Amino acid sequence: MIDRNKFFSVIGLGVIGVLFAKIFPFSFASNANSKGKNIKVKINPRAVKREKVRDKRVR
Amino acid sequence: MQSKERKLETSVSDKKENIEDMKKEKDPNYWRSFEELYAKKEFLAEKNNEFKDGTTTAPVLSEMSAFSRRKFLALLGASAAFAGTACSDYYDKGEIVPYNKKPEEITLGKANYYASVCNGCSSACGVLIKTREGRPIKVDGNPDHPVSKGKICLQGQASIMDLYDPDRLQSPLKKVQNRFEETDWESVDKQIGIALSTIGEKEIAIITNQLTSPTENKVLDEFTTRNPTAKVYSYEQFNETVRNSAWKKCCGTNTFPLLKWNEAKLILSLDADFLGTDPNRIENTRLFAESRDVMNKKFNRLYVVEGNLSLTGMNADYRLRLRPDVQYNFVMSVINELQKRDVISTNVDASGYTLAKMVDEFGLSEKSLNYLLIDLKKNKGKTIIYAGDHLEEKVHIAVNLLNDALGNTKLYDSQSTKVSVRFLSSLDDLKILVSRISSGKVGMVIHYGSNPAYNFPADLNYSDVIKSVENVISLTEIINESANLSSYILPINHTFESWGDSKVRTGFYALQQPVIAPLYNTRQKESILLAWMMGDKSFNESLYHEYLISNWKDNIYPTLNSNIEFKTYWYGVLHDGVARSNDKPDEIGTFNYSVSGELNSSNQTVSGIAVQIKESYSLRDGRFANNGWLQESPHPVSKVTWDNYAAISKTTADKIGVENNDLLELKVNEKTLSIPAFVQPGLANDFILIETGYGRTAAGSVGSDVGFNANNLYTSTGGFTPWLYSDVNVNKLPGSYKLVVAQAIYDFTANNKKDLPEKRGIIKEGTVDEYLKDSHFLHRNEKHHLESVNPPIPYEGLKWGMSIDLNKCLGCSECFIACNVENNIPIVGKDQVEVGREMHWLRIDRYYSGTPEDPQVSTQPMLCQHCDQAPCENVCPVVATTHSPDGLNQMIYNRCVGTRYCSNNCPYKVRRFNFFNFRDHFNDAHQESPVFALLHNPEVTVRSRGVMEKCTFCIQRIMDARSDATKDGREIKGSDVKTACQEACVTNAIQFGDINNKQEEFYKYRNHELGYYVLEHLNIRPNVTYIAKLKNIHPEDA
Repeated sequence: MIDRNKFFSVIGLGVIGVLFAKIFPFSFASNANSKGKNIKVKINPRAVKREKVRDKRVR
Repeated sequence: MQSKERKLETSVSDKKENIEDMKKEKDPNYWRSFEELYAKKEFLAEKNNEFKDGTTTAPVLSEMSAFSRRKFLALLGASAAFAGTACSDYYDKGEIVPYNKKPEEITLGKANYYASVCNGCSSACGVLIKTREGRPIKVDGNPDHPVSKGKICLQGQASIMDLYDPDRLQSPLKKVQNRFEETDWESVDKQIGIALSTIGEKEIAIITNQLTSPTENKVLDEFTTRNPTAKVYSYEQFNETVRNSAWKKCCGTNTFPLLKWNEAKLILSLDADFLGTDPNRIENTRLFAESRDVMNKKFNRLYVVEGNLSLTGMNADYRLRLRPDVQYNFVMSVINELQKRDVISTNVDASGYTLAKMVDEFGLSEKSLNYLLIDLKKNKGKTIIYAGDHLEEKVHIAVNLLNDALGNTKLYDSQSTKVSVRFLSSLDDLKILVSRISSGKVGMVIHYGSNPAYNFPADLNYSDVIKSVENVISLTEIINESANLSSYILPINHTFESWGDSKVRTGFYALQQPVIAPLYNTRQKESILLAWMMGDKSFNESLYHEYLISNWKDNIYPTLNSNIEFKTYWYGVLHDGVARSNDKPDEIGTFNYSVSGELNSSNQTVSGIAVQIKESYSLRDGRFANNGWLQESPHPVSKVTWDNYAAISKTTADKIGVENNDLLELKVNEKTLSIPAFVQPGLANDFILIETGYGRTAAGSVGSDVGFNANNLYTSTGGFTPWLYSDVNVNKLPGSYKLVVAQAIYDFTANNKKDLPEKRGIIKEGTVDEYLKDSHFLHRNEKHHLESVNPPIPYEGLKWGMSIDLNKCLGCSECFIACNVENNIPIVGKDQVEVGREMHWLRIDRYYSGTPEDPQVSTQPMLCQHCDQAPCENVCPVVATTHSPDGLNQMIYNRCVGTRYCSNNCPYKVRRFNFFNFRDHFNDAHQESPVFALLHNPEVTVRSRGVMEKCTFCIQRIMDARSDATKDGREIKGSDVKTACQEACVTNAIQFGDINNKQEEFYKYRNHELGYYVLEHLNIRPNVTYIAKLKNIHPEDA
């Protein structure tokens, strides 16, 4: 049987553990491939878009 | 109990009879592997399982360690705390902020298309890149490009993954004490500038793949002018140099002409995989399929004489097995026989060669040879005879002579020809380069987007020799074998981030434009050279762009005779992707009969085992090794994934004493290779074929150490050509290596009963003669009357359906890769393919029929059939799979609880279950990398663990078309929608549309007299119609 004090100690320590882990410098969710920087997508402004079919300009 | 036993006895005796029957029969009909053909015990046992062993295996509790209650609770508490922490940001994908200032060209939710050029190989096909909110997400062919005409190869389709490859280099690296350290471009430019200016008399060697860009070639020319000791070496491991050099000897021009495959009534392929690995395969395939047209009753006849069972051989009407090192004897025998029959007359004495001898020595079918001679005579001037690139020069000379003598030169295309902006260096040039490096005469080597350490012939020992060069610079996207030997690794832009142009044919130029700004701190390779030429701090982002415009303005535009002013013309060409030019090809010269002196009159004798090294169908020469989609793409013939192997015939395997997966050791010119054997039906005896592109030691986290490096055997001397060797020493090694075959898994032919695929109506075939005599022959003897307990559901409006013409389907896998890209299909890895958990929505089933020595091959794309009375729908306890009013069988992912009842009840076995979150599961979450998220099609849900999925008929495209129709105030039509597989199919074998609309072209396909449904007797009313394949064989042979 687990007594009342022990039960609350475990809960308390668990909460402290979670809070500690939150500010822990390493992320447990990550892996070798999730360390990449955020990628910013930039459209090339000089590219010329077109329709998929039946769109010919120079004849 | 008794009756149960009786039943069991009966089934066992049935099985025995069945096996005996199969042994007796010469033609055991359809089969897919030797295990199936010979009804091996393990195979029969496995076939009775719904799923392959391991697919649904639950953990064995007794094997797990015993837990105390206290330990369990403690671990539960700790794991809950950690899981809470770990998952705290699981759904946090960042803030979604609307555009503050929306770019003009973007309409949220609508795709933009840009014309460009694919630089994956020397074909430089025109592409159309689909982008969503600035992200390229799909690549198809540019419909206005004169060669690709809206189609591209599977590598081109899959190349979108390379743009977002997490293994791409993000900044320049410099080697410091045998380790690479990050550096910046300014210091790289400065240090290399100093090295260039102090190079003195030493050579600067630039090693590049084949160039297709005239402007890039100009940059290299200027670089060599500015640095007089610089020399450019252009190299491709698989090329057409032998065919071209033979052509030059025969007709005087540099390049073998293009061929009018669509006008040929008869094609004789001599070990040439012109539909599979030929550099011009996309155009070849398109033109070839034009003459396999049941709609217009137009059928060519294809004879293939080959050692390997190739993709082209799979589609042959007549196929003869012959080891490639005796192809010369074969052509000369054909010349002799035709001369004897007065069909042709040449100055060649081929009397030493007879087909009778070929029949005796190599077991060729006399009947088929006779048909060939009859057909060659009958189709004078309407035949193409084409030899493989790997065959020796004299075979090509003999083939050119035969084509000329038969008047087949009419099928050479005189309107256009291939153009090389820079010819490839010869093997002798490379030998000289290596010897100059060894003698210290080379001061700098630049790997200009190439990987010679992997692709150069092994006897040149490039990897060892290069170590003595002071400055080795690799310009590459991903670290490769050559980069590892370099002092600098400079990251370059992906094709979709680059400017460029291409000139591969007379008659037009193509322009390449970047559709996304570089994702990382990379530079375009041309601008790196320009910056070195122009000195310190000369680099700016538009350096090459401006250079390209100026080259076009000054040199190319004036030759195009356009009356539009340059700026408008330039933007017009960028828009179209193509500019027409007036350059004409050189005239096809007349055949110089004095060259026939090179054709010796005595028989070529061969002994031992011949080995051919061939380019891989999916990885090509290894440059696509880090692309998971291509690695997981089953081989079109063997269906092996994630590996290469030594393909060997059953007879030769028995002679050496090997079975599938046994290790073999091959020795050629003192070079050795250990590789597993794969017993391939249809292979010539005493012949081994190995595909290269595998065994890379530095290809990225996906492609490294996958398969075996066949280039260990690839040498510049000692063979008939660098790709073909005779008298190879082959030994069995102890041990084995597990090869994984994708086909063995999704088997819906149930128990191994003789001729089941035909009896169950999976494969239906006939001959052209049967069809021309009676166009309804296929259904003539069908007696079944189908009844259903379910009343038919009326679909009065639009109802979607698909038809697949098996006459045009070559089994090439273009549709398969396009489906993967369009529908965010994850890579699962070899271990998961092994237990049947690959996620492909569309697979190409391949059936053999006939004998293991000379099998016929049938291919059949298999996908969800969207049945009207879908068996999967009845069994779903949570109604996660339902039917739409327009006839689609749909999946509701967030309702699915993963019972897998639907998959169990699907007769076609086309449903796929996410046993894991495969994006996380494969290769240390390679696909969970942030950059990978950019690859996903935003219109298709990314599925996670525990969910069933399957083909949707590209519902997102249907919705898109519906939205356009609504906007235009009209009803959606069947022809408004093209599925991804349909769009990618080079031969247009796949058609999609409205089943109920009699006005549409699709209606003809749906109701074609050769159309049938797979497993029709189940009466579940599938909506995919297969048009039965017709073999164009001689009527008396049927």
